[in-house]
Amino acid sequence: MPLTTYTAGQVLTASSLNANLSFASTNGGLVCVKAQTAFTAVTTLNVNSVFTSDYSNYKILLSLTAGSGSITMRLRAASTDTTTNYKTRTIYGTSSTLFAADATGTDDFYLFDYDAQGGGAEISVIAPQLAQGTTISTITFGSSGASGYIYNVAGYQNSSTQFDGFSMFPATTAMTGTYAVYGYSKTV
Amino acid sequence: MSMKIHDNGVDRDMTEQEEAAYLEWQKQKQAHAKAQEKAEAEKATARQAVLDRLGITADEAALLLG
Repeated sequence: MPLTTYTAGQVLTASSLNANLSFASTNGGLVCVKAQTAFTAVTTLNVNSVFTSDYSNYKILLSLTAGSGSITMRLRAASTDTTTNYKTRTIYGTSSTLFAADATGTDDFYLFDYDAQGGGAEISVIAPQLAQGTTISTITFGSSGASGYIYNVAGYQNSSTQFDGFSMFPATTAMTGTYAVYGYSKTV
Repeated sequence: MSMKIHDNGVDRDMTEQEEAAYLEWQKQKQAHAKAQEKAEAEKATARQAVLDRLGITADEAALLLG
């Protein structure tokens, strides 16, 4: 049922109010589809059944408080990682120097590097559940020694696989932190 | 001590198979990183050699090319 707009003097019934609340919870701009979840000292992070036909596009928020090294990401379907056809392009830099890089290998998306000071990532995932290629883009902060790096990553997984989840891996040491997943509403 | 995996909301010990797969992936990633570092260092050395021959700095070269 679409959102009801009330006018002055109109009787507000329980069913109408409940319908509006229900509408807001499922059609809000960003809807949490995986509540913030903590993990401790893990070398693999598997998240299943978060991409569905309810939403086309998603946001993953990742916060890391311990660990270090490169973080990479794969898309998965039915609890199995896809390990081919990834491309990643990265622009990264400190306060004074800018770099550009192509990730080596096509078996995952490169996201960013960080150290024990921590880091965080905002990852947009476009169309993972549709039978078309999946695009990701990120804005990330990764600490490294005395410097802090900004990473702006764009990635594309070229296949028609309909993904329902993702995995992440630290290349150096186990990672500790939290993640949450949100779906973007498809309707006004 | 076994490595840990966060499996859809739950932290648990990796199975032997999972751990072996992760270690193999990690080895490949570290080899890629080393190769990339080496390639970048070689490129920087080659760039500096050209600058030295021309007798200009990197900033001056950027100005010329800009």
